[in-house]
Amino acid sequence: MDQDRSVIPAVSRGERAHQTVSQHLIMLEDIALAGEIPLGDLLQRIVEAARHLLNARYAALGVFDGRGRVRDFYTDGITPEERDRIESLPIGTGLLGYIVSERRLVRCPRIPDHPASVGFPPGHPPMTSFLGGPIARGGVVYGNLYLTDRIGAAEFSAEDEEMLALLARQSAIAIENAQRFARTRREEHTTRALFEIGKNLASLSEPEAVVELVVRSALDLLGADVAGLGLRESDPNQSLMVRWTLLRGSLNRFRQGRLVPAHQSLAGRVFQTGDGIVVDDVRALGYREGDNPLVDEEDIRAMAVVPLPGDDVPGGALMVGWRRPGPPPEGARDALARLADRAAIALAQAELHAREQAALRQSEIERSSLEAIFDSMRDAVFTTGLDGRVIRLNRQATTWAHGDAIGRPVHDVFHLENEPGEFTGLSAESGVAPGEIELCLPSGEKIPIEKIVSPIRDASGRTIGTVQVLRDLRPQREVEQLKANILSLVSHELRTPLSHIKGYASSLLQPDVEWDAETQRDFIASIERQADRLGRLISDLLEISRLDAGGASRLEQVSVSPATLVERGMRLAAPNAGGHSVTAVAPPDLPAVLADPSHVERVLSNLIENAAKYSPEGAPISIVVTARDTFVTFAVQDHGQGLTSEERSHLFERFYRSPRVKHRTPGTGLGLAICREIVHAHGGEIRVESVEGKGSVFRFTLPRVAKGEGQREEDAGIDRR
Amino acid sequence: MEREPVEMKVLVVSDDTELGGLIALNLRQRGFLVEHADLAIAQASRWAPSFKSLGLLIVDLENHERVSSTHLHRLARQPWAAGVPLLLATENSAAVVTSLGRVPDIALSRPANVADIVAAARSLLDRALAR
Repeated sequence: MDQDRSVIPAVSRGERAHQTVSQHLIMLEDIALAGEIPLGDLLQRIVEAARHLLNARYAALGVFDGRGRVRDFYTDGITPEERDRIESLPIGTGLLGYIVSERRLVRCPRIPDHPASVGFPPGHPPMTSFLGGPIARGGVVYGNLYLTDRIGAAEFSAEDEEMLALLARQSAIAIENAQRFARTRREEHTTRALFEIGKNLASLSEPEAVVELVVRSALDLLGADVAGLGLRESDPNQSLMVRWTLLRGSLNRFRQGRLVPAHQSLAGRVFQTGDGIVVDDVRALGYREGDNPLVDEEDIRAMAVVPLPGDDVPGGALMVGWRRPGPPPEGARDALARLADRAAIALAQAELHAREQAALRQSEIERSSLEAIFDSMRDAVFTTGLDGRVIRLNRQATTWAHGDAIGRPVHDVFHLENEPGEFTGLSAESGVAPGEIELCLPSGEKIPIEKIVSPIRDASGRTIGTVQVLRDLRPQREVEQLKANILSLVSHELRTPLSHIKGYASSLLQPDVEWDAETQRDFIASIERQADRLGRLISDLLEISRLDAGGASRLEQVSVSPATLVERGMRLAAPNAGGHSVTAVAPPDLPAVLADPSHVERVLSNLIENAAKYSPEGAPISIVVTARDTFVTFAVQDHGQGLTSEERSHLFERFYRSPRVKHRTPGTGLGLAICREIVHAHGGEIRVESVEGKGSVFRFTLPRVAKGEGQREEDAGIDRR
Repeated sequence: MEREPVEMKVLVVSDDTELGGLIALNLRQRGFLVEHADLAIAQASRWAPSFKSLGLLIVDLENHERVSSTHLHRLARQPWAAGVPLLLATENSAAVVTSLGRVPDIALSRPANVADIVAAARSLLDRALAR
C-alpha cells in the first residue's frame, strides 16, 4: 500500500499502528472489492469502519468535485434528520479547510481551541475532540475524512491518527480507482458511440443529413440541452457569419439557417484561435442580454464549443449547451472535438458527393441534349471505330441502313455508289467527298447525297474512329430547281413585254418605213399596254415580298362596308374584265369588316380578272357577299373551264401555273398567292370550289368589326345586276 | 417605196402572235409578201402556206423553253419548207437548232431588233435571188 509521505506524518517503518489483524484484513478485503461495489457504498463502509475502529461518536467523509466543492458526503454517528439540519460553512474555511489546504492530519482535544477552527456551522451538534485528514494521492486531494468526540478518552491518540491516515489512503485509492474506472468506461462509451456515429455519417451523402446527425449525436453523447453546428459564411459585405443548425433536446426539432455574426458567437473566437472553448456559466463572464442571440434564445448557461477542422481555417464550429451552470461532463470537450473531426470529414465527403451528383446530373442533361440533337438531325450521322464498323447512329441513319447497323462494316450498312476511294476506310480523308454520290436506300430508291467525314481523336491526337454524315441533297436540288424555274418564269415574264416594247418602238424608229397615223397609235398603245403588264408583274413581285416581310403589320385596316370593297374591286378589274358582265349582290345591312381597302380591292380585282381570263367570252361573273358568325364571306363565281383536282391542290402556291394555260395565257402564277397572303393577313381564309368544265367559285372571308373597333366609313349597299 | 419581186415570199412562224405579227407587218411595209402563222398551226401536217413557193422561212421564238421540240421538228420537216432559206430568231439557238434538226442560214438572238430581222431577211432573199 502506498504511503503518500507528503501527506501522512512520518511513521517509522518499524512501528505499526495498533490495529487488529482482522480489522486490517477487513479493510483490505473492502479495498479489493472496490471494483465490484459502488464507490459510494465503499466510502460509506470506510466512514463507518473509521468510527467503529477509532471509537468515535461521529465520522464523516467528503468527496470533492473538480473545483474543490464537496460533491458527496458520507457520515456515520448522526441521524439523517440531524444531518439535514446542518448548514454549510464557506468552502475552505475552518479545520476542514485547513486540513485540505495544508494537506495534513489534525488531532486536537477541543475543536474550538484549534487556531484554524471557525466554530461549527449552524445546526451542527457541539463536538469536542477532533481527528481529520485529507484524502489525497499523487498530489491530488479527493476529499477529507474526519472524526469527532473520541469515546472513552479525552482525545484521539497517535495510533488513532495512524489508523485514520491508513483509512484516508484506502479511500484515496478507492476514489482514484473509481474515477479511473469511470473515465475508462466513459471513454469506452464515447469511443463506441463515436464509432457508430462515424459509421452512420459515412453512409450519408446529403450535407443536410450529415449536419443533423452530427448535431443530434452531440446532444445525445454529452447529455446536453442544446446542440448546434455552425458553418462559416461571408455576407455580401464580406463579414464573417455563422449559419447554425440547432437542436433543442426538449423540442426535438431542428432549427436551420440561423445566421449569426461571428463576433457575437463563441464560434468567432474559436475561428480565430482554432481551439475549443468550455464555459461553466456564460452569464458569470459578464455576459449581457443581447451579446449572443443563441445564448438568449436557447437560454444557455454552460457551453462547450470546438472548431470543425478545415483546410487552413476552421470551416465551422460544433457547440453543446446546458441550461444549468457548472462544468460540462468530464471529457466533454475531448468527445466534442473527436465528433467535430468526424463531422468535418463527413461534410467534406457529402459536399464532394453533392458536387459529383450535380456534375453527373449536368452530364446527363448534356448527354440527353446531345442525344436529342443527334437524333433530330435530318442528316444521317454515324460513328465508326478503328475497324470501320458502325458504333452508333442516329434515327435518320437507321432508316437508311440496310439491316441492323451496330457492329457491321459501314459499306455493308450504307450502300453508296460513285464514292471516291480516298473517302472510304479508316484512313479516309476528312471533309466533303467530291462528286455525285448516290445512296441506295433499303427500299431500292437511289438518292443523291453529300458525304462528310471527320476523324474522332483521343487526347493525344490519335485517330480512334470517324464521324460520318450523309446529307440528303434532294431538298437542296428541289430548291435549286424551284429557283431556276422561278428565275426562268420571271425572266420570261419580264422579257416578253420588253420584247414587245422594243419591237414596237424599233419599228416606229425605222427610217426606211413610214407608218400611217393609225398604225403609229396602235404601236404606241401596245407599248403602253406592255409597259403596264411589266409594271403589274413588278408590282406583284414586290407585293409578295412585302407581305412576306411584314404580313398583317403592313395593313392599314379600317371599318369598311363590304359593298364598298366590292365596288372598288369591280372598278379596278374593269379594264381587264373583257366582255364579261360582272354582277354583285352586297346588301346594305351587311356588317362592316375590318380591312385594308386597297389590298382587299386587289383581291377582288384579281379574282374577277381570273374569272374573265378563264371563262368563255361573254360568260357572266357574279359576286355575292354574305355574313355568318364573326365573318363576312365574299364569293366570286364564274362559268369557265373549271379546275382539275390537281390544279385545285396547287392553285394558291407561288408561281404555280396550270399546265393547261401556262403556255397560252400570260401570267406569273403570283396573283392567287398574293390573294391568299392578303386574306390571311386579315385573319380570313380563302378557298375554291370548282367543277371541271363548269366553272369555279372563289370564296374568301374577312372578320367583322367588333363594336368600337376601327374608323367608321360610309356604309353603302350595292346590288348591281 | 420599191416593191420587191413576187418571188420574195416570206412565211413568219412564231410562238408569240403579236411579235410575229409585228415582224410580218414590218416586212410587208418593205414590200415583201408575208404570211404569218403560229408555230402550233404551221407544224400541222395538213397546213401549208398560201404561197406556192416560199422565198424565206422566218422562225421567231420569244420563249424557246415553252416551245414543243416536236412542233419544231415537224415544222422543219414540212414539205413546203424543204430547201427554203431559214432565218431563226431565238434566245438559245443551239437548243432550237437541235429540235429543228436543221441549221439555219442566219441565226439572230432574241430580243432582236426588228431592223436586224428585216436586214437579215433581205440578205437571204438577195442571196436566193442571186442563185
